[in-house]
Amino acid sequence: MDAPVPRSTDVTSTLTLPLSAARSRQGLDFDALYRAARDDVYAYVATLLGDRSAAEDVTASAFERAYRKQRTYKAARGSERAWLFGIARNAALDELRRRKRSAALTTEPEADLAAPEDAADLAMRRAVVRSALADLPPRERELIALKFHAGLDNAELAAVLGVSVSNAGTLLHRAVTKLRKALDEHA
Amino acid sequence: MSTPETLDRELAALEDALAGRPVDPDLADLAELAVLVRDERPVPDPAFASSLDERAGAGFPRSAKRRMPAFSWPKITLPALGVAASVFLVVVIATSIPSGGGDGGDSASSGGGGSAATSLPESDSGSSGAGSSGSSRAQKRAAPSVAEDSAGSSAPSSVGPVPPEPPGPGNPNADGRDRRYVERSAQIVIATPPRDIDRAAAKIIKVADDLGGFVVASQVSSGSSGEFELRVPERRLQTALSRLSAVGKVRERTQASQDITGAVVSVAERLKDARTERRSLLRQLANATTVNQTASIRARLRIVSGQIGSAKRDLRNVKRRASYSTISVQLLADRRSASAPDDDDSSGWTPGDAWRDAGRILEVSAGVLMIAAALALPVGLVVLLVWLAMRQGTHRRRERALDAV
Repeated sequence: MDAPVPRSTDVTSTLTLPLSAARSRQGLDFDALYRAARDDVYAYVATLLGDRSAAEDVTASAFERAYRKQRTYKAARGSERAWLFGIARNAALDELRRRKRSAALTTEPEADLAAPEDAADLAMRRAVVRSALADLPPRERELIALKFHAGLDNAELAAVLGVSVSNAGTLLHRAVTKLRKALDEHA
Repeated sequence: MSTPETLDRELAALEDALAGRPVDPDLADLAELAVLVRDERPVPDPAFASSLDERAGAGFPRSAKRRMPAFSWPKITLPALGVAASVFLVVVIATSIPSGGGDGGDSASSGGGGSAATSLPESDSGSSGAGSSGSSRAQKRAAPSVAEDSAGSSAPSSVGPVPPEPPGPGNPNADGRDRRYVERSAQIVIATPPRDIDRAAAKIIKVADDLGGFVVASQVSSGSSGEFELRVPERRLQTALSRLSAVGKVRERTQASQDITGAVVSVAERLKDARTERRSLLRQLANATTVNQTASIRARLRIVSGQIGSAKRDLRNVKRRASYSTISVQLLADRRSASAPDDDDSSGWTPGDAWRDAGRILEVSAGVLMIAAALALPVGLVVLLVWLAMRQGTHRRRERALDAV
């Protein structure tokens, strides 16, 4: 088994400016939320849209919306992350509607330039996963993005998608099974 | 198809793999997949991340492009709009509320006081016999006498204009009468503040005098109540009622009419028959040859003459019932019948008036609030439904955008 890879790797920038004004009266610490979720939101949006440039715009727009609407956050309705990803999802879907752009994962494959020769097999497997991910229907790709790229637990996943927790688990398992099947076929 | 147990186990394995915990060997491929997928996580460009950090640190300032067209309401605008709307509503309702029974501006307050019970002078109409003492002004307005008419059915000159046709279906001239007699009466109950009773009583009498009528009977208890029976020319009945309505707040007002043509015709026929008999008796008297005949005819003539006199009085009275209308006025003291101070009111605005005015303002305010609520409720409901529909529509369009990819 591979060693666990820490989340939010390759982050070189840090937040240095104070966000004291962003603290919500309801206890929402926007500063902390932003710092904890910035890369996760970007990862989710980028996976969903398949466009890094659009993902940057949508991510910025999502955080701006969240900043403006932070007073509307109600802890009883769910976690801060679920609330934030709900906003990000709406922003991403609005972007899809506006641009009528295919969300097929046109990426930009992550060039494994740094991959050593002895890791060729791993690189190949990653390429297969990337391809399978791109071939997934948008809704299942969104599930994968929320779970594996944004790091949401199943309860948050359900809150963002507006489904029950058990249903979210079922949907996630179905998407993972497709990826697993694609990987097995390649092997 | 995965069983629920398998599903739960594999989902748990995914969680374990993502958290770096060991998983069962048979699920090692799933754990590897989880890590591989996680490794595909897009990472933001450092320049973008730095730029976003700066914007977040600045509180996401709006760009000049967005700021220009955006119209921002001042914080005070919403409450100010609410107050303005409320004031507008109050003004509209206050100006549209009727002034209560047609009470005019002359229902002014007065000093009041005086004797406990005052009997106002009455006039003798000659028809009702209710009054006994003469009234200096009312006597001047005594009802005009009805001219004798031998035919009885022709229009007397003193009766005035032809009264309106009696109500009801059918042709009023179906019985062959070219003239109908209608007796009209009215009752009106007027409320005034106790201190205005005397002044209102004087106004009621003045109405009768001004319109050529007279007061048949009246009784006024100062500061308490009053009752009047007025007789006014039939053609001025509506004018009289209108002016009486302005004396105070009208609590009740009823009118009645009755066709008395039959009674007039009956009396006229009786008079005609008596006159015919008298002419016949006079002819018989001229031809009488004996003393006994003459005495008998003269006795009969006296009887007939009495019958003619009685018929004349009856005819005059019954026609007067049509030419003059009776108005029964009841004057009540009511503290709630607030009235505007008159010009010559020297008592001024008392704390009691202020108390009543304050209560009235509260009543009106509560009414305005109820009306506003009645207006706002359906409007708010419609707005809520529209908002929900728009929200649902937006949600569906977003989901369709995801499906359309």
